[in-house]
Amino acid sequence: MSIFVKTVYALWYRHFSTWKSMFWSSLTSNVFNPLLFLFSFGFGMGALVESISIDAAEIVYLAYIVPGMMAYSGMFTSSFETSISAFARYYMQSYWDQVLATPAKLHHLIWGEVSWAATKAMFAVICVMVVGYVFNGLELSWNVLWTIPIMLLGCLCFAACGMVATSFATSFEIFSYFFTFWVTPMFIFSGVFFPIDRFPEYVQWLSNALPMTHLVDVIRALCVGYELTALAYVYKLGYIAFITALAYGVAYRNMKKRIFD
Amino acid sequence: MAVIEAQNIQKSFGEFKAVKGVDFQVPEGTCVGLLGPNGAGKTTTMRMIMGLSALTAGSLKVFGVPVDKVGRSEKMRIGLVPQEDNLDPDLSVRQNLEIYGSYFGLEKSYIKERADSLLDFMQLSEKEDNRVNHLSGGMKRRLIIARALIADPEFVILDEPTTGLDPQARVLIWKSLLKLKEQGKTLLLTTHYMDEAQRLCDNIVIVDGGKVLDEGSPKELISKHVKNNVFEVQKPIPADLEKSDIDHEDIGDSVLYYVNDPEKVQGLLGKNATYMQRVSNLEDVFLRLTGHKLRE
Amino acid sequence: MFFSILNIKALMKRYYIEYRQLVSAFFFGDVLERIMFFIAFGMGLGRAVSQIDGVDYITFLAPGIAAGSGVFIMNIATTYGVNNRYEGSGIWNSWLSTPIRLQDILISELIFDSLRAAPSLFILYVVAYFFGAVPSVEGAMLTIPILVLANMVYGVITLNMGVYLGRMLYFRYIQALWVMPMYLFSGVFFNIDETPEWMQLFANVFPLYHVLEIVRPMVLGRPVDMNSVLISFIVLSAIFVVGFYVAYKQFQKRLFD
Repeated sequence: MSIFVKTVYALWYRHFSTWKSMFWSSLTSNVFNPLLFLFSFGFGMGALVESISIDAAEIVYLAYIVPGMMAYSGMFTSSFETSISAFARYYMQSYWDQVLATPAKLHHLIWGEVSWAATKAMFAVICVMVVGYVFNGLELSWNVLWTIPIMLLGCLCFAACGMVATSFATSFEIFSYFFTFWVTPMFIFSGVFFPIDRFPEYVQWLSNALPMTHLVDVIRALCVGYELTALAYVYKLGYIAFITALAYGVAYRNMKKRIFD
Repeated sequence: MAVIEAQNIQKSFGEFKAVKGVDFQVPEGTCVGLLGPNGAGKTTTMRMIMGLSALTAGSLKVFGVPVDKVGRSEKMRIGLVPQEDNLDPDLSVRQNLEIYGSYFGLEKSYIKERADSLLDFMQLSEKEDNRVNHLSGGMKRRLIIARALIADPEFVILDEPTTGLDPQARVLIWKSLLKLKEQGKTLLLTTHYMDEAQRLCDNIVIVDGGKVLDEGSPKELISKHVKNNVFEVQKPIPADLEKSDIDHEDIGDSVLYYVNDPEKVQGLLGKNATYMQRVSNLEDVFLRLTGHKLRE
Repeated sequence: MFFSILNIKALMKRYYIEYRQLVSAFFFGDVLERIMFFIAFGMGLGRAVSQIDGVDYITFLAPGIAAGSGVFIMNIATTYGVNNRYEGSGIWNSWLSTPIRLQDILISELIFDSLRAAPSLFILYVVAYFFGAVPSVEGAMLTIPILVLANMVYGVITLNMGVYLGRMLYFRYIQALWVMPMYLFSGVFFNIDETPEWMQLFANVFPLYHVLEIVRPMVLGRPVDMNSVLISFIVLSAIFVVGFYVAYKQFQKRLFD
């Protein structure tokens, strides 16, 4: 096994072992949170909005929001983990200094954080899928299986973006900007609860710049079975991959400057 | 009149008894040192005096008032220097003094005057506009002491005021505490540094395991427990010395001998003994009374 | 008197200094997020839901977002914020070494955090007004003091939960099991009267539901049922008084025992 994989695994495992002791509480909140949204929006809102049409196909509102919730849970969990949680480890617990005093390099460290955040986020995503399936908001098919690797890519992307915020942060207050200008817009302007074509055009431009919008689109297409062209898949997933690489690069350069300069 | 009168005070946290019946007094105008190893119950005792921790049993009077009846007028007369740095992180150095002063309900102009002179007294004037997070450890301690003095209290409680500071900062703090003594203020001090206690305190109370082991002036305690001189003699101990009735204490690898007259031991040492001789100090008293074993 | 006005005034000044320094972070956190929610849901769902309770969806939503915003602000302030002050930075201890007493600290914390929401409510109403979503301007302005008082009630509840749970690690349960359910099931986004009966019964548990019952008709310019206002006022006041006393006792135990 290469040194890279070994070291990243060691760092990943450190987070995993602290998380293990909180498994049950983590499971409870990961199941409870989507339940709340599904009940509130699925049943409460569903009474007002029975179905939503996409390209002339009518989709029951509950089935419409389950893929949105999957993407949202993944996005929120991974963003939180590499922003506020990672910053706490870096700043309050000086965990990073401990790690960098060993042969581990900054690349390993960032990959350790990002891969762990994505793992934790995938756990949340799978909880949503189970809840959605139980309440008839998600139908199982081969296509649904494809959402798992795609969600993983999405979670890596948001985790890398969270690292960018951490690389700039000097105090916890900074993250209120990260959440206000990045996480919240992806919650409300990326089509989690309703189609973005209802917004004025300039808002749609903004929506399309957010990787979340494309992720939601792909996941929803796979879950409810409406058609996206092959080109659309390539372009949407490519965009997410591009943002991931970009964010990783920026985070790495910034962290390097901050720690070693 | 005594500023503090503690009679048989006790404190339990659930099953654990942190303070098991402590008696001591702090007479007006004196400096009393509360000495003890970690976990001896010093901080708990301090917190009880400030009303930050309720008594489980016993009687504790502050300025003659039972501690649970202590109100505004008594609090105005006490300044507390806590062990932890609990400065207000959202305020600047000067604001930390002025806002704290406002909690005492003092006049604005008076607070400003006090803040000016305290910043000067603690040599912090240049830093007055800095946020407290940017201060060094020594400056933070000085600011905490200045803060405790904002209402010009008669009685100042200091919980380990110089722990973790460099020698320069400690000397500066000692000087300012001695000045407070000159002004006739009453001080109650806890510390781990015996030189600090010896330098500042008129009276010392040694506590361990939640009880008072002994008390007295530094001089009294030294001559009572460890005489004037101490010899640390490596084992094996010369036979003559071992047979003698000199006051001694076995600490494992070596034995400590306490005498007033050094020649008495020197004559018994023989040729091959490895030993060290020095004038005894409060540290020897402390170790003798509280034992040489590590606590935590 | 139980409280000391002098002490409360001194603490208010201290909170105000902190507020001035962090005003931009507060502003983005409090105001901008609510406005984004309002616009996004108002527009996004507004087209799917043409009319609700006899008005446009965005008009229905405005008082919901206004009344709901305080729940989040008060939760963060009375759990994480308070915990940080008595355990993290430990400044409560330094305050308690002065003539300031525990009850003064607790009430000041609640008053200040509640008041903090007033400017953001005003701005939210201004934005809503430009979307034509405020039928009664006087009604909307009158809701501001009511919502500030409502914040005190939300705050005292989460204050109790926070001190009971004790550790920051557990505070997310408050968010998950109390704040989110209250926000999602009190009728912020939809009309509770049109939901299944079990949801209507469930909503009664939450103070936000009762506050909305008063506030929404006011903003919509509809007559308010004074009897139900009186009942709600009495119940919420009782919750506050009892909640405050229990919180006081809990803190006394936690800090001084």
